[in-house]
Amino acid sequence: MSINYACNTSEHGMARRGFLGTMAAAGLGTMSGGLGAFTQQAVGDQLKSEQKRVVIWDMHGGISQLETFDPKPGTDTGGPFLSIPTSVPGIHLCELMPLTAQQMHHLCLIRGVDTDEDDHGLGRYKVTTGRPKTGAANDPQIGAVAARALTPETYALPGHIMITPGGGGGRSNDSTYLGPKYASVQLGNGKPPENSVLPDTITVEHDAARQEYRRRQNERFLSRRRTATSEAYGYSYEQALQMMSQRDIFDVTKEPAKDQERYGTHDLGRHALLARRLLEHGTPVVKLSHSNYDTHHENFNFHIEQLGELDRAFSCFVADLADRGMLDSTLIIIMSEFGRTPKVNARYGRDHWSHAWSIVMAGCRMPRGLAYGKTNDNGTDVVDGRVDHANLFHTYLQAAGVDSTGTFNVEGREVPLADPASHPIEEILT
Amino acid sequence: MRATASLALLGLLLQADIVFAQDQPLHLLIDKHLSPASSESVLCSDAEFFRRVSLDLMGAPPTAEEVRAFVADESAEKRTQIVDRLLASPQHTRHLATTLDLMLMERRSNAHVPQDDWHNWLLTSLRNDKPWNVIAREILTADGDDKTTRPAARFFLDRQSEPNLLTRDIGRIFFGRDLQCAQCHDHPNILDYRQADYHGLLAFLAPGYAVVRKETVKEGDKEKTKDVTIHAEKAGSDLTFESVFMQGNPHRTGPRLFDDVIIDEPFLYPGDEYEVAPAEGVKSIPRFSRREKLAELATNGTHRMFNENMANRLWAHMLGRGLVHPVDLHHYENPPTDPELLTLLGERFAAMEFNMSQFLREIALSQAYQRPYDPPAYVLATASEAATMVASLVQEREALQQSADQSSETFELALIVWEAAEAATLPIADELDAARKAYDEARKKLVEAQAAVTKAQAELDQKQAQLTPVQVATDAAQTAVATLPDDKELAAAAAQFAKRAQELTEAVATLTKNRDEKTSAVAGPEQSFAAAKGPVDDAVARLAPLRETLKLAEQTLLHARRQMRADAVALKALDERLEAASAIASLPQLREAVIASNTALAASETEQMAAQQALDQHLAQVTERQSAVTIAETAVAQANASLTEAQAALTKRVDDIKFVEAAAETAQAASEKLPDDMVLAEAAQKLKERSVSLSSEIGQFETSVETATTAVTSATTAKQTDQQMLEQSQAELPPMQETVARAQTAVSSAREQVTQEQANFDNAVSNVTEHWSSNFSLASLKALTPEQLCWSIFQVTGVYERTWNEQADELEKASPLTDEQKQDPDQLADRQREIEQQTYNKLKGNLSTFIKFYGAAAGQPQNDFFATADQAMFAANGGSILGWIAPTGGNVTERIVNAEQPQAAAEELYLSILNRTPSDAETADVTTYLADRDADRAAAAQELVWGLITSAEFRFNH
Repeated sequence: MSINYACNTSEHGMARRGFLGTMAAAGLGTMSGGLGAFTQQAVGDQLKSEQKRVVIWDMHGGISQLETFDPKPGTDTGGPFLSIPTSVPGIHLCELMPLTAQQMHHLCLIRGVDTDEDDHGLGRYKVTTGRPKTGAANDPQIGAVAARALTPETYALPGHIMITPGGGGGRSNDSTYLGPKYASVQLGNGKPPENSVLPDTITVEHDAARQEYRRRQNERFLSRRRTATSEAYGYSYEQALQMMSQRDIFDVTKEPAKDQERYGTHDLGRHALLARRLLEHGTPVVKLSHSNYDTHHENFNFHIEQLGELDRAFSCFVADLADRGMLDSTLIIIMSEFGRTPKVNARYGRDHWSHAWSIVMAGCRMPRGLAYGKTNDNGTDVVDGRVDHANLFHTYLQAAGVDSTGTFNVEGREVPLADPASHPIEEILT
Repeated sequence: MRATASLALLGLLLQADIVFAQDQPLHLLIDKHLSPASSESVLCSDAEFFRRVSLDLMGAPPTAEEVRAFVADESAEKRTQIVDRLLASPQHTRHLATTLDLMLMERRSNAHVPQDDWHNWLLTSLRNDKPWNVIAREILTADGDDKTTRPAARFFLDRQSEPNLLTRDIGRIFFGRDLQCAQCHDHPNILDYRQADYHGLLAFLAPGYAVVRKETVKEGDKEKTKDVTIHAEKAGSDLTFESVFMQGNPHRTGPRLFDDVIIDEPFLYPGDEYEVAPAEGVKSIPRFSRREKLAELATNGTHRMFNENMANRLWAHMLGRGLVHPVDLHHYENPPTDPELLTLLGERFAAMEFNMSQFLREIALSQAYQRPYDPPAYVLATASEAATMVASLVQEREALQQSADQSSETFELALIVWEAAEAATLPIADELDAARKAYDEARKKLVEAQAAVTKAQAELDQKQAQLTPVQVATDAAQTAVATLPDDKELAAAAAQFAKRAQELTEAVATLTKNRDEKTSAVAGPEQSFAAAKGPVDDAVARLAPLRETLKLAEQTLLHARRQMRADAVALKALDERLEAASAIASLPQLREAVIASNTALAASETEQMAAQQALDQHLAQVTERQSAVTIAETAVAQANASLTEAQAALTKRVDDIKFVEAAAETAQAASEKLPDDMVLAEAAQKLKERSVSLSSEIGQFETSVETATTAVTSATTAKQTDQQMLEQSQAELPPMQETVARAQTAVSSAREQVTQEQANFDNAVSNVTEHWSSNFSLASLKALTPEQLCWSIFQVTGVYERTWNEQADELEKASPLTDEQKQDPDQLADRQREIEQQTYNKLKGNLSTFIKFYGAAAGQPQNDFFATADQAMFAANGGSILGWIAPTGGNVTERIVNAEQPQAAAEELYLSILNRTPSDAETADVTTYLADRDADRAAAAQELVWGLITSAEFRFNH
């Protein structure tokens, strides 16, 4: 197994020599000369060889495991849908996931998830941070932890991007004590980051002139005394320029029309295609979400509609990453705050259920075409391979080549990446 | 120079005995502890000082005019005067309120107390010179019930009264200790933080909870019911806990502060604990409030950690880093830079009755605060003493290590004793819990029985009250019947009365019986209750000596811990000094290496030059020989030509002879035929003679040919020689070229070596510089907070001044000061405060934008620097800053546009934004920039202003 944790990532903090060392390694003698060496090509090549990426599909509200990855047709809890065979003999999915079923040979289903928390907020906290929400705790989410472990110091673009269904841009608070640098940058409904276009009042030429003046001024200040913080500050402006010049990578309409058609013209389809685009351009962590699965009423009708979008977008996404050879370096996760009750309520709905549900992973160190864990005949309990949020959190990191038992040094504090009292699902890591 | 430059080193290395003179101002005492990096650079320049102290004390830099005046001021006291002026400004109070807000609330959302109320409470407190311990006490005791102190309750309320969160944040913010990691087990990395410390503090806070009360509020004309959350407290009990790593080994603690024994609490029987018992929507009030006890213990002036924590935080506010840094990780593996100085600061802060502004003043006046940012020019001068020190420190370290090992052992033993003592108390404490529970149950039963009697009596009384008038009526009816015996209706009514009286009499009898039964039923619970007291008292009595033993064990343990910590701190401090000294001591060697590599480079360059020269010479020779060969070839060609010519001449002469001989023979024959023809005979004779003469000259021609042949041979030989020499030279060329190439490679690698050695040296110097910075021998870099950044931009772009003037005019119009008032300093100060408040109100809307981009996340420490691309894009492309730097109203951009000389423009630019005059290079830069853009000078001026506002020099205080 190759753990890419210790090298070329930012948990070295901003130790001056580390920072300058990376800069020098990238062929940049001085900060003042712009970032010519940081061409997309150079970064891209490096990424292709060693960079691991994580993409999180977050199903808001609690997706039903019974209508997706752990169907129980013909039982008292199974609901009206049948199960269908997949590309892996012996593994069946719900008939609402026909396209995903054809990609099963890339996937690893975790069917014995028991997170023991049926409240939306607390369940979400557990699943995204790998820890229970206790009093003072305010832990970073998987995306931020992965971004901190995986983003190279010299990576100019934001290392953690969240594509949100609506709303504006800005920075989230999902990195908590890991610092705003690893918080997700939001692309509201897939729009590019805010302020990423030069205002009309400033010409490109004049912008270059003022930036050059700023660089000369910084160099004069740095020549008095070089510190990591002052260099990091200057560097953030170079990152901004990189981001502006590569603004196109946030523009999904630059993707072929055929692909846009294939993924679906609904939000999730566009967001999934944008996620593919971002990953191809080296973004270490991308999160997208699909809302809202909280089906206390009309669970079945609702899942028909919702899963139509998910099945199409997700199956295209997995197939494309596999085709492009990116699956070995990209970890895909489908998560939710919990699953839904086996028991169907009087309103044809299913309620919150955290004791026997499923999540899906694919890529990196995950085995291909496996269903791990088992629930009983009508899905009311886990009978084999019971795992919880903490096991999963460790596993996500390990799968992406990060030593989940390590620590980050946060301003002098050593903080564990994942719950030190837990461990990954060792037996499935390849 | 050499002798004086080692000052820093002495400060760094010597544990000088410092005599504390209590009557000396604190800033002088500080400077006995901390020394400059070099005697050449003890203090920073006036301009540097002015910007630094303005940012630290009022949150924004000075204006260009103020800097000019300050630099020109020749008073020896001008730094003290400016500090006092800043401290008296309304902006100082504002900045300190903002600083406290960030420290206390860390941008948590305002769920229960509006931000304005909270900020104003802090501001008003500071305007009234409320000392820190009083502010802290009010925060630690306010419950939000009283409108006037409700803002102070924000610390608890906006943490949802969550005991664990409060434990963490009170530990961090009021005591400088982040115990979070010790919640579930002893801290894995910090031996100093124990689970018992966490739970001891938690025990003060665990009884707290949020209670929601319905309140009627007026909204306009309507009255509405509103939920109001307040903090309430229950009666406390012991907390039990065990380590997640060592289960089955339970512990128990009452409230106790870090490094202290469990507090004594009054013993209260169950049922006596409350003044107001808990109930839905009711603020319970215990007879003994742990929270108030915590506030009292922390803020009474004697709690060292409380005092040192704030002293350290105010120090960090000014110096950019705490003596303990991070400021909430005070433990023995992260000891203060100077433990004695921290003790001194804590003591003096308490002695000046926690007056924050006075304390900040002393720091500002110290030389330690006024150090330069630039490292000294002569770093190497301190090295030789450093080397000597390293040796002696290494020895000293051994002794210290031994002592530290020993005290650590003592601590381990004390821990075992303490654990045993604690274990002994546990069963009795459990018994007491059970007895208290039984007592409480018996008490409740008794209360129930007593309530039943009361109830039965009340029922009886009620019935009795009905019976009495009915009885009277019955008697009256009987009398009436006796008077009118025939009145049947009356008789029936009387019978009815009698019947009802009978019924009631029976009912009274039943109720009386019931009352008596209930009364006698009290006896049982009374007995039980009386009996239940015994076990409680018994358990209390048995527990008391065990607790006393535990307390003693704990005192021993704490003593051992303090000793262990003192040793560890000393060791660590020594290690830091050792590291610093080693870093300095290593400098000459690294410098030598730089020099050596330069020498090697020079040597290899010489070699390369020699080789190149030899090659060049040789190449010249080759060229020369090449031309010799060419010349020789020409000579050969010429000789050949001569030979050809000579041969041709010879051939011609031979032909001529033949022709003449033939002619002579023909003439002879003719003459013989015509013997008398004398003319003919003479001609024949002449021809004969000519033939003979020609024949005799032939040798000459033959010699010419021979000579030419020889010349050809010799020229050819000469050419061959030259050719050979050329070939020889050419053959010698490749090895010489190789030599040159080798020499060039050697030069490149020598040059690389120089770069490497220079980098090593530079790194070592920067290491030393960082040591100096963390020892306060040099100034640190302090990132501006979002608020500071916002106000600073308003200040340097003139937005602040413009708004201030508008507000001043408005106030003057609305309520002009009389001439008399204008003479009154208090009135004037009030007016300044009003203007500041209105200016703040006018501009504060912009703060949120800066907080959004530059602020750390809510609930996280707010002083960690980070730089992201979204900030840079906001500064580069966002409308806000670009709008403020447009030329208008005499602001810096407009002044640059209007400056007649580029020098004046440059000076205006640098003084306004960076508060210093430009260097020559900077003036030249500005001059060129403006000259290139004569056509759109306003845009160019704006770009220059932008370039400085976005520069690192502006982003940081230094």
